[in-house]
Amino acid sequence: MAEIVNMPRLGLNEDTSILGEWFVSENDSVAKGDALFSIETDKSSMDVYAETEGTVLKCFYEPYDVVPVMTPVCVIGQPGEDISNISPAKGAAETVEEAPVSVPAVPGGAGAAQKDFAASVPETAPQGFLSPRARQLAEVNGVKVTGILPSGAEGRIIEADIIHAMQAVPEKENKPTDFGIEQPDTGLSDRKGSRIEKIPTIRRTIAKNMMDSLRNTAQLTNHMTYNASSIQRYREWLKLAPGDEKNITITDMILFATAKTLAQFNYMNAHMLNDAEMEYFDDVYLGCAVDTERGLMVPTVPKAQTLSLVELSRKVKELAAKCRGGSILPEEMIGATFTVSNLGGLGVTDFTPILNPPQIGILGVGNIEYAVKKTNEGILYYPAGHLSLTYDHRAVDGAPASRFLQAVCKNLEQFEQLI
Amino acid sequence: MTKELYLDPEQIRARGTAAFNDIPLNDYQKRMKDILGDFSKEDLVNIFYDMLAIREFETMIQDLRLTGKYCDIAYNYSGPAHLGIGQESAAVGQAFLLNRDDIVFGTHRSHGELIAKGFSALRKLTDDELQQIMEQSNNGAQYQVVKEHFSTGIRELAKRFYLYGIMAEIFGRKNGFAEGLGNSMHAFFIPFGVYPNNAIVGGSAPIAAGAALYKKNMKKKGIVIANAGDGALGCGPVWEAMNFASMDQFNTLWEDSYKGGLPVLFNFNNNGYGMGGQTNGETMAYGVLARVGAGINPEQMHAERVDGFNVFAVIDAMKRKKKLLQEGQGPALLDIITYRFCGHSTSDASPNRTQEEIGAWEAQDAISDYEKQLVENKIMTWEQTAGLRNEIRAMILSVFKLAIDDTITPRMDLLREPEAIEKYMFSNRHIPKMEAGDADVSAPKEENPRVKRLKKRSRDGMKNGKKLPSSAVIQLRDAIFEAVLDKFYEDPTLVSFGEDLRIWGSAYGAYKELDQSVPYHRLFNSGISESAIVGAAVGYAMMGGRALPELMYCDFLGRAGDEVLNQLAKWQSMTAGQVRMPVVLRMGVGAKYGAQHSQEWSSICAHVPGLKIVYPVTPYDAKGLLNAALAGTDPVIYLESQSLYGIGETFHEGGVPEEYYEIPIGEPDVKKKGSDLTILTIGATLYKALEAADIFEGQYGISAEVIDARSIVPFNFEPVQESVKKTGRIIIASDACQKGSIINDFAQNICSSLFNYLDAPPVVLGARNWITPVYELEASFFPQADWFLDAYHQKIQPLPGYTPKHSFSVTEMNRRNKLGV
Repeated sequence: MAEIVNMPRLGLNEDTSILGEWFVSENDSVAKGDALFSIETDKSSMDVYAETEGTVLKCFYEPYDVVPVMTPVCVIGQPGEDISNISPAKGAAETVEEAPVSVPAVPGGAGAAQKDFAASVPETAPQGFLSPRARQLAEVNGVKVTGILPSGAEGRIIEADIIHAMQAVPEKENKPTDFGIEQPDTGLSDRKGSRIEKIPTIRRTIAKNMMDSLRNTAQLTNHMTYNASSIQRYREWLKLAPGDEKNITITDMILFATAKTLAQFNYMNAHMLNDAEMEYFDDVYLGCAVDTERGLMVPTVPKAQTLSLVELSRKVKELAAKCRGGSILPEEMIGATFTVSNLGGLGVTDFTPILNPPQIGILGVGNIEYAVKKTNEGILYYPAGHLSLTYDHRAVDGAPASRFLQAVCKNLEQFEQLI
Repeated sequence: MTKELYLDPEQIRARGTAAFNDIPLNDYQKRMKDILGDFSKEDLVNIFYDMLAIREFETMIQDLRLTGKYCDIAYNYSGPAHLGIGQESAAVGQAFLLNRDDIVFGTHRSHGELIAKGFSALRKLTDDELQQIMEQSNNGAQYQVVKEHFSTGIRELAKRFYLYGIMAEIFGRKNGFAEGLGNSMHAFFIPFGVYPNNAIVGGSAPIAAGAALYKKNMKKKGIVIANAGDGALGCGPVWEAMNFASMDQFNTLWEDSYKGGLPVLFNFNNNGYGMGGQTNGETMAYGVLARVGAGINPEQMHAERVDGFNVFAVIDAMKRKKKLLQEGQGPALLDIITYRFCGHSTSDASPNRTQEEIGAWEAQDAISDYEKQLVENKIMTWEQTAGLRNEIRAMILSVFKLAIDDTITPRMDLLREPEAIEKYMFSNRHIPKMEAGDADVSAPKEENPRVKRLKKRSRDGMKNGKKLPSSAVIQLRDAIFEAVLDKFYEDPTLVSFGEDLRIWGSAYGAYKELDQSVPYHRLFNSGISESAIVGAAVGYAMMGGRALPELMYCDFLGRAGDEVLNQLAKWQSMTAGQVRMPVVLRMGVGAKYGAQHSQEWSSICAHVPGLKIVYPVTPYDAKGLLNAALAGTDPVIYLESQSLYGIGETFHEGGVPEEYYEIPIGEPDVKKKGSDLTILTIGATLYKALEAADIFEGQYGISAEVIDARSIVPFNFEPVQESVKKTGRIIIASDACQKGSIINDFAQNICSSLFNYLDAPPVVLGARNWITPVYELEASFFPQADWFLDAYHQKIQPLPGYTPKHSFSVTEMNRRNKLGV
């Protein structure tokens, strides 16, 4: 019996994934556990392994094709087996990603969203219809029509509705290829000493996510410094320890403090699901940005608030190694409720990290520089750690966000008490 | 309709009797022996020759239909076979004296007249004339074939040429005289004076009357003969045509040099049957056909019964009638007694006739009788007549072999030449004057009192953004007047006739005071005879003139149904472009007068290929389109809304130009620019659409683009498509009843060409499928401004806070359709 290997779903919000490279070809024999192909998705790359032994009967895609999740990528079975009933998802080429066609054009094929507007429809016309003109416009501009309220007669979505949707939510549907690729002609292409390269898929994915984040959230960044002498002292002390404790870094300590603080500031440990709903989490799933050769990756430390400092440190190092080695599993990359990104090691003091929606906060960690400040005791010369909190103003106002940031600083300044 | 004629009660109410003259029945009794001095031996042989040729030709068709072969050569002929075997003497007797200037129109049963007239004409032509005619016919198509296959002298060649062209036509082949588009029932050969036969019984009568009008008005030589059967006297158009040809005004009112009735002979080949119906004793009541002449005019149309089995009696009658017609004493009527031995068609087993009856007539067969006389009078011997029969059979057989040969005589190849028929549907020529020369008018144009009066009017309906009062502007009726007047001064062939045109000034005064400039013979009132009005225009145009007939109301179209739908529309293509049809038929679209005076029937006309149709609704468009129609060579149905005659020009900047201009037929016009909704209207509905556009814009911020179709056939969809590409929505409206309306056709075209651009289905807005109610209820019948909003709200996009009054739901549509309303 032929085994269909589907494209796994890697992230909550992903409808498609990008096939990386094939490790097998059609007619190859594979054993259970052999790597079949890699997947590149938002900020991760992973390999998919054979769960059965047999012969690769069919590969449906080429490298860098976009594949709808939970649809067949390849088939493993016995030579000569009839697999004609297995076919890839319809229209699953890269263009699908750029111009998604998810038009519920038939009654019954429409989801709950269609039922919602039934009330606004005059007469007893069937719902979920799209005028040819609206369909054309939606296709050209990659507008998803699910959920669009029809204003046309007989419950028909018409051109005006698509235009309205494009204006109201100029988000991912709106020409995702417009950035990063189709720049206006600079007139420099003839100049010697330049070269044009195709942007790798992971870069394009990052680009897309970054733009989506900036487009769709009201993010802003607050900067604050804290007195790092406490954590520096603790670090010096840890270096003397015999076990893994000696590998604990300042970053680990900041992650630790952030996780503990988030447990107290539930309003920052949240997802903004849509314009109407927030989801607040009991556990802190801390995303940790990792720089790899392939680009930025963000593995997730589950239940970070429950971990001891050393546990947290171990977990972070393990995940970072996997990222750099390319063996990170998709489930290790999903579900973060808050992210910490550290550029301090590169000398950056302050920056404005970009949110990973639907998360509402990301903490940017800058370096520690000596600073001078006037206190009641006189002029203080101290190591000032820099923190930058980007938050989604739609979800949280400046004062509460700043209180959270203050709390992180305070916990770092009184690190031993936190432990 | 004229003050010159006094309707005197004393005279009309006075006691007395109307006298009738005796009607001669078979007065001529001479036989060959009695007339030997009057005819040459050659003539006598030729008469026999022609009768034999007709008999053999029709025998060929009969054999093909009944046995599938002729002289043992198989050929599958499945076309019409309305034969006149037995009637040859009538045809040959008629044609004997006629030359190419005398023209005949025939019937579905006119192979005989076709051959007789052709052979008669070709004998009277010189070798050079024959040569030229053969070379020019279909660019030498027939001539090339006969020249290659026969090496006879030119006169014998001409006979074979003629028979070949007819045969190829009957067999539907490209070398037929009408390239096979006419076939058996519509054959003709104009160079020999044989105008198209007509498959509609009696159809030739009004057309022949119009041809005679042309001969008379243009002072052309020759007479016109309308051939018909006795059954045709059951047809109204035949009576209308006989009356049209006889009208008193020719003698009482027309100018001196145009006095006299029309030079047309209504020739009834009276074989006793209208298909199966026995005219004498069953379906008609005249007893003696010639009696009907007495019902038409005091001259009784010079009608008499003539023994058609005696060819000399027919020749004698023709000689006398031709003279009368040439003297302006027309029209004339002949009741030619004849008999067909065959059935109505080859599928008719003659269930209504006894063998005894057929046998009795066959015993008197004119050809056998004539042959006997030839021998008796020592013109020919039996051997010679038998030899002549063989010679004719050999001639027909040899031509037959050529005509059925697919290589020599192919059919049109519509795959290779897809436009082969299409190109004949319209002639599309621009000929401002159909003949050279000066037009006959009664005074300089500037002296026309209406022309003088119009000089004082504003040519623009608007001044400083405001509408001027109707009395101060050039109105739509004036625009029509100007176009017609200009053409009367330009084209000497132009005639206009209809009901109440002269003095009364046509419906709602469009022609008022035209009579001050145009003499009677060019502008006259006809009887209440819509068939004759349109039919005569067809005949007039077929001869080369330009006619501008009028049907007062579009509703009267039914009365001229055959003439518009079968004659006017079809003759250009049925003759493969050999006749042109410069006829502009004005029809008023009425209002206020209820069910039989308020219908817009453009769709009926649009259904029939071959008619151009325009419906201008502004003075500028009315003049420009009428000018274009009157300069073209195609039949144009020109519709006028009677409710708009008084409007001024409010769209075209500068109003209605005084000088001549044309608006191309087929081009819609954007009357108001807009971006959200396209409204395409036909006819007067434009003004309702503009009202609606104001509401759309003022109350709902919807900008409507309003396009006036102006023309219906032909129609350039591109400007409409441009608009719909922009707006994605279209409402198409007209005052015609919606069922079967051309607007559905328009909607279908938009749908099929712009499906992907549409934001809603094209909405069709026609009048209800009812009778037109009284004026006070018309708002519930014709599309009104609020109908546009109602339809938009329900079919395109709900309007905020709007409550529609009329339902455009599918349920309502289905309900109406189930009820057929």
